[in-house]
Amino acid sequence: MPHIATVPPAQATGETADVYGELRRMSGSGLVAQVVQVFSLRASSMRRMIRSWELAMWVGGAPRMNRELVAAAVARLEHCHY
Amino acid sequence: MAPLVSGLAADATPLERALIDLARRAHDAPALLTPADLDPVRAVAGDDALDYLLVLCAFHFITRIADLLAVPPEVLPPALRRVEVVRRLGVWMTSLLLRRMDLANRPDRASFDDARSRVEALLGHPVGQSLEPLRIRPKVVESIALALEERDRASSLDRATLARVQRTVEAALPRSAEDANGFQARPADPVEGFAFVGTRYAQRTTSEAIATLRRAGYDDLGILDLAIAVADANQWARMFRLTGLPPSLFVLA
Repeated sequence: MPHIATVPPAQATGETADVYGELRRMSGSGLVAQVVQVFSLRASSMRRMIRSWELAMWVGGAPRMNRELVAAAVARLEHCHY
Repeated sequence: MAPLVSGLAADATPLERALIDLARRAHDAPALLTPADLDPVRAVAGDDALDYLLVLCAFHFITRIADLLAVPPEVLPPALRRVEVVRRLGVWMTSLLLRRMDLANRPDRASFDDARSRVEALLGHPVGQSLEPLRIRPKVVESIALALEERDRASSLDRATLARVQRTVEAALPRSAEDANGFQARPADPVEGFAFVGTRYAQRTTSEAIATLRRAGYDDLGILDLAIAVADANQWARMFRLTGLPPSLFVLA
């Protein structure tokens, strides 16, 4: 359980539901990452998180495998539980 | 990953070594980063160095959000990952989920001038040549604009609190591996304590720390905004040092 309340996709309405739809289109899958859901109390912040993720991991020409390497290294060094 | 991070992977490429070394510096001593720390990556990857810089900064944001707010893992809780067979099963399940995603690269649809104008509109003044180091990667400028929009248009926190979070993050920024991994006294103030732990070792954030914030008057949205402020200050602390951008683009006076 996160420390704060969230609005799961199945309960989302209005702009929050729209942003969940944007996430599905961005990622090309039905997966709604928990680290995106945690922003769901405010749709604009969730939209910002999704775009930031896209800019970092999808946009540009650097090979995906190397981007994943950097992401995984940061997470490991920070001992991130997620 | 473990052999790569530990430096023991014999078959790592020069780029992999440069990326891991950068990630380690940005974790152990971010307060001491300079633009020269990006040079080894740039020497191997050219302009793609800015792509990796953005990933590095974005994940200093994402990992803090995850740890400060106790975001549940997608597949396996941490305790189960210690069982090797279960951990491997979790990796396999994660790979199944990722296989359904579109992981192909996409073009940068923003122009540098548009992204700079967005930043200038948010700041309310021209930025001159200060964003020029990012001209070849407008998406990095767009990421700065997104952080400014979050800070100035979305956050429920007042400017004084945002500035206090930023000052606490800057003061807590590790200068050595001991700072990043050891045990130090944390500020007694709940907001400053949250920012201090979130900067040095966000994974140590406790339910009691969150309860203390609630007793100080922060509701769910306020706690979310504190976590965002801590995470943004941490990604910005690394970005401005590695690019040579003026800190004042994001840091409040």
